[in-house]
Amino acid sequence: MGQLFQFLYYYRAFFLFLGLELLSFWLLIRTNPYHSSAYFHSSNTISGTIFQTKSDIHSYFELKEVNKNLAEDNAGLRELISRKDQPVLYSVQQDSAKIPDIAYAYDYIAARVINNSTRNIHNFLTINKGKKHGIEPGMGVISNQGVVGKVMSVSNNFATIASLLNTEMYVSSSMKSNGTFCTTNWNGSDPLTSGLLYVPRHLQLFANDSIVTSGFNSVFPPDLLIGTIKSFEIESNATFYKVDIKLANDFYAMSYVYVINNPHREEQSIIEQEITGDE
Amino acid sequence: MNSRNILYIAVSFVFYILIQVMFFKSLVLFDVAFCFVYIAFVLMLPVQISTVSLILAGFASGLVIDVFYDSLGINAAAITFIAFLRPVWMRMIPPRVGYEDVNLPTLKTFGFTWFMAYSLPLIFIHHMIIFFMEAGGVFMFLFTMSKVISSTIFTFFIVVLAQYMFYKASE
Repeated sequence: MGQLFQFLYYYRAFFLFLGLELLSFWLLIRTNPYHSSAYFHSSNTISGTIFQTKSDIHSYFELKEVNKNLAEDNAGLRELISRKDQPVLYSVQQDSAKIPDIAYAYDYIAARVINNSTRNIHNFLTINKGKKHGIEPGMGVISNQGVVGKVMSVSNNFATIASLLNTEMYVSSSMKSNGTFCTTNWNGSDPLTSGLLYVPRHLQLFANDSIVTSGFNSVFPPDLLIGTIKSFEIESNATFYKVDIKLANDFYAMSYVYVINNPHREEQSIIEQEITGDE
Repeated sequence: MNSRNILYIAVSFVFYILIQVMFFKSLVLFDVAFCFVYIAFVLMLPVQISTVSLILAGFASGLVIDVFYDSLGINAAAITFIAFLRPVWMRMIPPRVGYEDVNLPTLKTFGFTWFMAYSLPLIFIHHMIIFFMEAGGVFMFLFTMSKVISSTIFTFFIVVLAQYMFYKASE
């Protein structure tokens, strides 16, 4: 027994090293990009405050860009309002698509991006709103240009978002022109381009066709822009196309985002889980 | 280990973590060259430090960096390995003047050639671990390798720059 302890003591550095390496690997494997606690993420209070300070200094340099984006956003909203005023168009919309009011019942929470990464395999953003402002893990995040990502963890004042530029993010999407259901998933290299999975071969694809959210889950409302088709090809014996899409968002310059609060999120996901559980 | 050393370790820990997350986190050259300058915290720990303290200090720095990078476990694993390797590697490349009576293994004490032989391989191994763990395997080998090599050069350059700016020859 004494010899054993002597042996352990003699090689204590090696065993410590081994233990810490195992701990690191366990942390790595255990962490998944959805729903995890805030302590070990950039949304915890200390790192959040540091990123906030950095962003406070940095934000002065991008005011011009932010102003431009907000102006464009305003212009878009103005256009929408003016279109609503035209009685003919409005009635057509009402008749042709009988969507119950429940589909429009989304709240938007505006937040500032205080930390962002684009060049890793798993990219994340940190925003300056958290639990206190009503943000919860699993909510969708968009900007005025398109889909940004999904809330992963929250602390009282900050939240970490898994961005679309994260190889483990899968976003249920559809093609604007024909409504085909497909899935957006980043391939890990180019921050401006994403991949599109499960596009069946019988379809005729066009470059610049819009890819939007499908609305088939509780995270994103339908018809939010994700990107446009950049290039596509199909091998002679493949079932699905290989499609690259140009992302609508410029992830390099992300300053303000909106977190989507769907009041029926929990209800919807419970039902969806029940269905998949039965299969 | 005297109290001066403990103060030095605490100050350099905070210093390297802060410049890493406040500045170098958002500084990426050509989309492939990252700078993990915080490795210099482990490289610049006192020569006489015990291996156990070295590994613990390394692991702590890696864990803090991981929290800021949202990459839990990757930096911790890489820097712990470097901390474990450092004493072995130092024994393999003894400088002409020897390690006796020397507090910090700085560039100005041992010369540029020794410092390059000391830091460059460790930086390279550190970056290999980080980028291949992040990629989750070797399926993007060339892309990941280009990241590793360009980042190694970038980090080494900054580490050497910091040597000239902040460290003096050991008395």
